[in-house]
Amino acid sequence: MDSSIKRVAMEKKLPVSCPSCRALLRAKRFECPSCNTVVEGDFVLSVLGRLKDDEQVFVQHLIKCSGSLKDLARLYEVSYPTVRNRLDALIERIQALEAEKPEEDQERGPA
Amino acid sequence: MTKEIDMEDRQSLKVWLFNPFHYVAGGAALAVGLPVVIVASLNGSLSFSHFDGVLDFHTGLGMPLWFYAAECPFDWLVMSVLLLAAGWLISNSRIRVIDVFGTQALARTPTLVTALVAMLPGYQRQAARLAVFNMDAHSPDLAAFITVCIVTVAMIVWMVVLMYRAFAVSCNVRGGKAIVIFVIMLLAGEAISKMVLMTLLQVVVG
Repeated sequence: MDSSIKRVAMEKKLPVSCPSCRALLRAKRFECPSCNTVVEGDFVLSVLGRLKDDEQVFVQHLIKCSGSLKDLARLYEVSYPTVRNRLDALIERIQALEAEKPEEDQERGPA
Repeated sequence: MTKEIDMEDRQSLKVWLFNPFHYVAGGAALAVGLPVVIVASLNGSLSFSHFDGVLDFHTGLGMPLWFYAAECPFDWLVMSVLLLAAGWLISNSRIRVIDVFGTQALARTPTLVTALVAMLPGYQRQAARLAVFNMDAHSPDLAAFITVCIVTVAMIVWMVVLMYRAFAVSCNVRGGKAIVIFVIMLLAGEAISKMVLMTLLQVVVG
């Protein structure tokens, strides 16, 4: 398969942190794929948007399981405490992300 | 099927041997672990094996059947209660009692191996000789005796590793603090189970 086709077919992941200094990235530009309208600015990603891919998938599954950790454990084929421990780690991570919310974002107030 | 949780913990023999609680806990672990605890305990009556302490293993003394039957379940109960209390003390997580009791029961699986290998006739004969201070170093049963001793030590080490992993998973604790409190509870469990079982035996048998 041609490498360019491979690249297009590959699902692109939204980079959350800078590959160089690990600081949180901000979105500067959005483009409508339909009419090519471009919106430029300085957009801070939401807390959920700043989670790692696997963490975002975990949250999606948790919602789809109606918050049932038992169902989630069945889905992941792991034990209940394993899922609960993962959730505890995720809660800690969300709290840490909320704590490092940029100053400008706080000045703007809630959206 | 999604497999994003701890990808390094893919189903492997190593994980199943040293941290099966990643996959099995709660009622399922109790359903497997409790029969193992009871069978290991009762098996002691056939091989004159005693688990008269959380970490103890001895052979040789004939005891009433109820004493054999009580040993392993009592060890399991003592450790479960102590580690549950430790979990409540140091963990910020919501701990389910069934997870602690279930995983601790499953963690005692190595005792079944110990009880079974202790049935080897060569080991039994050599143990009987040693009980009357017959130190025949050329006995053909010596190899069986040494093998059982090595297996027993390995099983105790394996059981301690499993007990710690069970504690870590069911109570969501890790690091130095978890290890220190686990060791303290292990020593306390050993002392409590030993004292209570011996006292019970003295009271009943006299």
